[in-house]
Amino acid sequence: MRKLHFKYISLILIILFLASPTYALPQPSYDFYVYDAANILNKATEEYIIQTNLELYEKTEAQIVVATINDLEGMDINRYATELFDQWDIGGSRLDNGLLILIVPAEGQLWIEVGYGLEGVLPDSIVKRIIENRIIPYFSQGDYDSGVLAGYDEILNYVEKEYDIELKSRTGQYDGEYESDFTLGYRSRLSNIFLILGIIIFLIVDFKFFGGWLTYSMMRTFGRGSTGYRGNSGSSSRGRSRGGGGRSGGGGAGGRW
Amino acid sequence: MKKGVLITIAVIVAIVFIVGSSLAGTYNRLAKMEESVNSQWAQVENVIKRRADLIPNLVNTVKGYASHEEEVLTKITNARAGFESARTPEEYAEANAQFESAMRSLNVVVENYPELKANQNFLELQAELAGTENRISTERMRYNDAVREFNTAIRRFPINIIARLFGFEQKAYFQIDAEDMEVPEVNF
Repeated sequence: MRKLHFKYISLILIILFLASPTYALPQPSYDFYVYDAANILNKATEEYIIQTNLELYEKTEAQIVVATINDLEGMDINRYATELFDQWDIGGSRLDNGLLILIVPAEGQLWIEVGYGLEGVLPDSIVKRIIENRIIPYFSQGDYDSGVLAGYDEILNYVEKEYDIELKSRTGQYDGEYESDFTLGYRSRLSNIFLILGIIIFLIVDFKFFGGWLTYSMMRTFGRGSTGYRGNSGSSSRGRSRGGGGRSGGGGAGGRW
Repeated sequence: MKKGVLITIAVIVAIVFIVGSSLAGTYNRLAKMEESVNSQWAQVENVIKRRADLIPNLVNTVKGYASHEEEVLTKITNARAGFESARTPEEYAEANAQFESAMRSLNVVVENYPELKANQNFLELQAELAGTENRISTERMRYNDAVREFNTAIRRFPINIIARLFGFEQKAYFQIDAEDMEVPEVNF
C-alpha cells in the first residue's frame, strides 16, 4: 500500500516537472538594475547605472534595467525581453514606467523594451534612433561600456524631461542620502518606533520573569546566523533592490551589429 | 417529532446557505475572469488601432516617392477600413491578415525606391510599425491566455452548470492564419 502511494507521488512529481516551462528566465541580480551575465560591463559603468537608478526610483518610481545574457534560448529577442520585463516587474506599478535594455553580445543583438508608462516619451522611433545613433556605433567596435553608457544617458535625458527632474547622481553628487530616504519611508519609520517599543517591552518582561534568558539565547542564535547574511552581495552595503511591479506590452525597438 | 422537524429545517437552511455562498463565490470568480478577458481585449484593440493610425501617414510617405504604385496603396487603405469596421476577434483577425498581405506587397515595391528607403520619416514609420507588430503579438498572446483560462474554467464540471445558469459563454480566441504566423516583414 505504501509503495503504491510512493508510486503515485513520484508520478505526480514527474508530471509537474514536465508541465513546468522548459526554459528558465534568469532571476534579477541583487542590485537589480544591472544583470551582467555576459560580463561585458566594467564596475564603474555598473555603479553609475545603479546609483542613478536608486535616485531615479526614489523620485519617480521609474526603473531602467540593463541586462546582458549569453543565450536567447531559441526565443526572439523581443519576446525574451517582454517576458523578462514581465518576470522582473520593472518600473513602478502605478505608472508602469520601467525600461529594459537587453543585450546579447553572442548574437550581436539588443532590444530596448519600454514599459507602458514610458511609451509616450520614448516612442519606438526615438528608441530606434537611440539604438542606431548612440549604441550601435560603439557596439560594432566592441566597446560595450561606452555604448551602454551613451544609450543609457540618452534615455535618462528623455526620462528626466518627462518628469521634469534632474538627477544629482549623474554628476557624481549623489552621496547615498536618497538611498536612506528611500529605504526608510515614512511608514517604515513609524513601524520602526513600534518595533523598538516592542523590543523594550520584551526586554523588560524577559529580564523580570526569565532573568534575561530569552534575550541571551536569541542573541546567540542570531550571532551565529549573521555571518554571511548578505550572501554574495560583495562589498556593497546597499539593500537589495527589486522591481516595482511595472508592465510592458512589447513596445520598443531593437538593433543588430 | 417537533425536534426532528427543527433539525430538518436547520439542515436545509445550512445546505441552502452553503450552496448559495459557493454559487456566489463561483459567480464572482467567473465574473472577474470575464472582466480580465474583456480588458485584455480592449488592450488588443488598442494596439491594433495604434497600427491603423499609422497607415495614413505611411500611405502619404510612400505616395511622395511612388505615387503610381496605386494598387499597393489601395490595398493598404482598404486594410485600414477593415480595422475600423471590425468588432469581433474573428473580424479583427481577418483585417489583420489583409493588412499583413498588403504590407508584404509594399515591401516588394519599396525595394525599387532607394530614396524612399532612406527617407527619415519612412525609417521612423518603419520602427513604429515594427514595434506595433510586437505589441500586437504580445497583447494577443495575453488575451488568448486570459480566454483559455476563462474557457477552461466554465467547461469544468460542476462550474459548467453554474456558468450556463448565469449565461457565461465561451470567448473567442484571437487566431491568426498559419501563413501569417511568420513575423510580417517590416524591414523594408
